[in-house]
Amino acid sequence: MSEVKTINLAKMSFNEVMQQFEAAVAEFDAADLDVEQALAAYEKANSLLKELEARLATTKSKVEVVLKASE
Amino acid sequence: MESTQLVVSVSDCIALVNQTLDAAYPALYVEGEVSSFKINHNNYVFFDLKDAEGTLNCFMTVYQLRVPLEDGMKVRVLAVPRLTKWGKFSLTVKHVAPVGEGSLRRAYELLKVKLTKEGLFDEDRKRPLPPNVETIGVISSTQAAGFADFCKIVAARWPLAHLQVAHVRVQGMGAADDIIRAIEYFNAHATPPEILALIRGGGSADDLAVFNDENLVRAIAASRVPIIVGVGHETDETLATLAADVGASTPSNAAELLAPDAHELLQRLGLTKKRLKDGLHAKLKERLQFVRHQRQSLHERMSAQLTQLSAQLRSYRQLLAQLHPNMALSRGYSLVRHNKKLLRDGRTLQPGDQLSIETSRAIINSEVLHVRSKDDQLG
Repeated sequence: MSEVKTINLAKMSFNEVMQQFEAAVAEFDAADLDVEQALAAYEKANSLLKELEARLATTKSKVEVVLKASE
Repeated sequence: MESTQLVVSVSDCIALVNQTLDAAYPALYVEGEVSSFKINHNNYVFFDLKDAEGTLNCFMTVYQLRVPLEDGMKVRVLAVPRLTKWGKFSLTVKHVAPVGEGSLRRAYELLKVKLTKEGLFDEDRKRPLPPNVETIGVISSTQAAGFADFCKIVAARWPLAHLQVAHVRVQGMGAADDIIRAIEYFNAHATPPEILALIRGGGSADDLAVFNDENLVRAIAASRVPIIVGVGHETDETLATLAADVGASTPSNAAELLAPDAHELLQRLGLTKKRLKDGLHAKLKERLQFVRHQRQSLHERMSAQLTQLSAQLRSYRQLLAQLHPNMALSRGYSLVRHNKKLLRDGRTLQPGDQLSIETSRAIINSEVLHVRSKDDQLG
């Protein structure tokens, strides 16, 4: 089972997902001739990438006034 | 007649005058030039406020003094008029701010020198902007033009941004305290925003003087959460900007600095995606070639071994062929059998025994005539 499936992406911040993605890319680059390792890293990077893209596509920025100084 | 007249003690008289003053002038803004400025015991500030016609004594605590003062500086004070217990009239100052470009500039320079010496603006104190921020604590007036620009640019660049806004006054008396409270509010959160953005559009030097308030500058430098300050126009430099982790030139610039460009990021991600895909294909191709090469090399080694083995077999076959009895028969030797058994000795044969003699081409049945031992002959 690839490691990605055991991580709850929904609970992670964008940055955390990004860091996981960068780690998977580094893992892929380090795999060299080990195709099995490269394939696992590729699959992991791909799922994380989909999550990043989905978040950027579906989220909308919001503005919320949390503190109002007395004037 | 005399008994109906109001007679009060000196203290009551002073209190009475002060009550009257309080009712008439609960707070007065007075503008003038500072002279005889001094700080006593590091606690109390005394100075005179004067113009061409008159002079007023002023008193305040060091804590309330938020900008550096010196003689000759033109200031505006917010003060309560007071008759002291020594019968002297003075202004109890609540707030003082330099007025006029020269005084503002001078106060700015004095405070800048002081805080630089303390290391508040040192580069090594500055923290980098967190990447891909999701929560941004914005400290600004929601009515300010700079705030609208900031929000617009952030929203256009970075859809993940959640702006938690502290609406504060960004100019005039009380603004610095509002901003300080907002900084403290965000810092006190269990999960504070990833970054604070102090935002205000352009304005006169007087408007922006809030951002040179000593307490505010110190609060910015002390913030646990990194702060970006985007105040005024490119040409405006405030001490708040210098103390910030990142000093932006304008609100728009602050938005661009802290909000990543989602389109650019998506493009970069796309490129990485392609690189990974191509890389995987290359790795698989490389692996396939490796396997092919291995198979080829195995094949070659196998056929070399087979060739060697068949050569060996050939030579064995030749050797065996040499050893075959037929070869001996063809050379003129014969096989003699007695009772179907090869005869190796023959000394026990008796005349009349039947022999079968095999040559290369015939089998001859014969009879023993007589037997003579070779040993006898040799002997």
